[in-house]
Amino acid sequence: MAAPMLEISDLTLRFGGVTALQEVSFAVESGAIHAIIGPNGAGKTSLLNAVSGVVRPQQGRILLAGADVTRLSPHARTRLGLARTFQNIALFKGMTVLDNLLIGRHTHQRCGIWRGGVYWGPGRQEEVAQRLVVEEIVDFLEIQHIRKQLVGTLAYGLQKRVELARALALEPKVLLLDEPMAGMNAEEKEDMARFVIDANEDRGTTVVMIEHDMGVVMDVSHRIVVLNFGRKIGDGTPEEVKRDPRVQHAYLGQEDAADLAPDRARGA
Amino acid sequence: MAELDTFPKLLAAAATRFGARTALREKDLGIWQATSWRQYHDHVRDLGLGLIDLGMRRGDKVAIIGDNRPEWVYAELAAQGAGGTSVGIYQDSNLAEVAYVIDHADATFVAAEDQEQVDKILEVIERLPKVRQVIYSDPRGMRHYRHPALIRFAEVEERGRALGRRRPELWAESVAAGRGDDVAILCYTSGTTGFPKGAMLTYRNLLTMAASLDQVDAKLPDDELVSFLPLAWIGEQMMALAAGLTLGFTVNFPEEPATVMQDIREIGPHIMFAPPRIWENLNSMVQVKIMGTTRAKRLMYELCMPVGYRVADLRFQRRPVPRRWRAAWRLAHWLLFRALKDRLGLTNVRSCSTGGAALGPEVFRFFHALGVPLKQIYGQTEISGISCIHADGDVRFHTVGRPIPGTEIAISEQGEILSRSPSVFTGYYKNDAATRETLAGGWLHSGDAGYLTDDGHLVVIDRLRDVMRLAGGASFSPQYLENRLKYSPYVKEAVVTGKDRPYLAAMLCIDLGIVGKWAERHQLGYTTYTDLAAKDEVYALLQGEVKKVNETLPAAARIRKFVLLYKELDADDEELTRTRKVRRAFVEERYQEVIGALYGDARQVPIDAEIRYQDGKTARIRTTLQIRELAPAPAGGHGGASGHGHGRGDGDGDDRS
Repeated sequence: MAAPMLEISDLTLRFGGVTALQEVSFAVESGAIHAIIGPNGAGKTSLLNAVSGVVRPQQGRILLAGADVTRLSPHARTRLGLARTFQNIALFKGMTVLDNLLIGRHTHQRCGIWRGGVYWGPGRQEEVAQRLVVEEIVDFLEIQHIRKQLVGTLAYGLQKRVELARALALEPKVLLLDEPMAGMNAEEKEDMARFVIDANEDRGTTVVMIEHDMGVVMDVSHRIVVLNFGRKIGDGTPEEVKRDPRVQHAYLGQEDAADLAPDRARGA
Repeated sequence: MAELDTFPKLLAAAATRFGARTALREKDLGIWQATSWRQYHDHVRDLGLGLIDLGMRRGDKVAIIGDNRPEWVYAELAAQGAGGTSVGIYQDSNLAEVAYVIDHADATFVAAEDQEQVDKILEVIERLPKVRQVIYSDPRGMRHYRHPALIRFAEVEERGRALGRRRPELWAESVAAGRGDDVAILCYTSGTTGFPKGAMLTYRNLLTMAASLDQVDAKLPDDELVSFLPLAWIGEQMMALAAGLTLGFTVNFPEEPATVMQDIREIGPHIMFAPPRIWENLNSMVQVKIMGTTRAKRLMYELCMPVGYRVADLRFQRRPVPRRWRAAWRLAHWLLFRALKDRLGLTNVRSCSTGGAALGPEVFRFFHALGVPLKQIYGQTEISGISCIHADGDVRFHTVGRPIPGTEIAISEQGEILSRSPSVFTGYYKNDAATRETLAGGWLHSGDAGYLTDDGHLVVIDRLRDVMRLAGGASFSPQYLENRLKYSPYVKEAVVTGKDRPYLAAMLCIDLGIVGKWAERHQLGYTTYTDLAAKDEVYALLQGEVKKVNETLPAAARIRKFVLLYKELDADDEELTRTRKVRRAFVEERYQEVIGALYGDARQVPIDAEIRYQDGKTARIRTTLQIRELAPAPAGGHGGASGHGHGRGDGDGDDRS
């Protein structure tokens, strides 16, 4: 493949005396599903925060489709094609599903307050065009039955799905997912995994995903980065990572972990 | 084309006559997208020619599986126009059922909606050598599918267009070659015993049925119908295809199964034909919402409903409605019924009926109180879906109405309901023995026990073979009793046993939604269905319900003992048919330990069973079921009493519409 879609080099992030990330480098190929795993406190969410621009790293560079975004604000990165979901759902709970998705379209809207404030003309055309994009995502994620419901009244699993929809509404090049399957039951996880794969295959979205469910991670990702105490300790295909003794050690903390690892890792 | 005696001929005529008028509508991307009669015809023509191009010959069978979408009816009419027969398969069928029907019907083509259905077929395709091509319409998720039998719907249409350019007259010739006595559909009945049987229905069967039904229950070309029940079911074939093509009304397809209720509200259909569970759901939805609404609205409900009930009851008794009650009803209509009907999508409804199983009198009264003229239909797949219906203004709870024009009803010496009409099917596909048995003596044998009232209304009691005798000699109808039990909102399913036993007993499945809500209100914590069904409080609640039913029954027909099952009966476990009817023999076999305990002295029965989830995983359930005994009837009960005298009929059996 051509140049990587997302390239992270030498990233270091400190909070006072705590080093959350230390010299982390890896590249995400265009069109890949790339998982980030690691024990609690390994720095996974910090890494995602640094990529999306919520925190500024002290050192290192982040390239999005070849452009240096290290110094850009989060909304500027969004405009360049970066979208994310959060570990704790971040939606407008008092608004309908449709309105939440339309907000996701904000960066694609060209009409300002004057033209948008008038019902006729370009404002209306744009509204129709945006609604069409949003409806395609509603169809894609099978949330037709709740499109007019308030987000706050929905079940947790559905809110997670709406959040993914909101991120997809941006039509991002790179989609960052922070534990998309956390707290879901087996069936919801299966659905979510299918949506992530479909988003990747049918829409061509590059996905970077933090996830704890090893079964899902091993099934859906093309490559996996393993973090431990802020350092990258593994990077490769699911098979390679499963066999990597350092990864086994980080997860199991035992010298003889190697024998058990393949089975245990699934249940981790 | 001299006579419009087939579906494809009717479609061609409608395309000429109606042209740009809307024939079909499907909600897609949040908008109702219309298809004109002309476009409808063109899709069917292109697909049909495509099938011919792929090697389909006259007489071939095309199996169709999927949710209700325009593509479903395109596939059916394309198959028929090409001289073949369409075979509908219930979309929630499992692998074995899908494989059985496709193989038994000798289908050469399968039209499957999406990945879900394609996966089922590919899983068993090795066992289906007769299948040449699987046509799918929704490519979502199938990017990496490379099976040689797969072909896209649009690609078949494209081939059809190309063939049409080379041979412009081919389609018209193919349609014109169809005859009214050709088999239009193979309708597989979801039998409560054994394998499903494929009823062969001709165009003449279906079209005479539609014409006769229209005489007593008129439909207009401007009407709207929402097609949301399985198109493999005869009832939906009656409405969306036979009646729709004859009368030219608009058929609407919902966006997704989950949005059906919203979609019905948006369309405001004029015609509704649904099995009892739909009407029951609407009714209980209203009850639940009223419980949770503001005091003012609840007060309004409590003020207006009695007015509606009063007027409905007078009409049921065919007594004149006094002017003041009529005025009160008008007022209640403006205050409440109008808004309520709008919420339910029933504002415009004119022709509305229930069929397939029993509907509780309370539900009937509720809809009539609102001014929704709900009627009962009775029929079988074998008579194109319908033989009897209530006339306007002559609705009675315990009857199924009078025969529709052209239909004769008789009762055999054994008490079986027999019928005869031009809509009676030609036989079961590849099953002459069953055909001979069903059509013996020139009558269609329904397998139902019933009788005619003095003024010609038909009353259905139960399946003939299900009418049973207790060891003491008294006869009883388990289905009649089960329906009485199921009228309780807390009871989802009931199975009554007692054949050659000293007394009657029942296995009940609670309704998780409603009992769950009840538990919530009474601050009763529970985890799972099994847990809830084992609570003493729930047992007490259900005991009260059973007692209430017993009080309306003669002594010999009362339930002595009952037990709450630890799981719901499920079609995936083969306990119910796809149309949700209890497969009695199977259930009695499966729960024989429980039944044994119902007739023993034990107060408890230990259960160690395996249950299977939809994804194929199994889990073990270990629990103890309680057996509850109700106080025996006071001494001196009159023997021989049973539920018969006023058995509510409604045509519940294996293959009803």
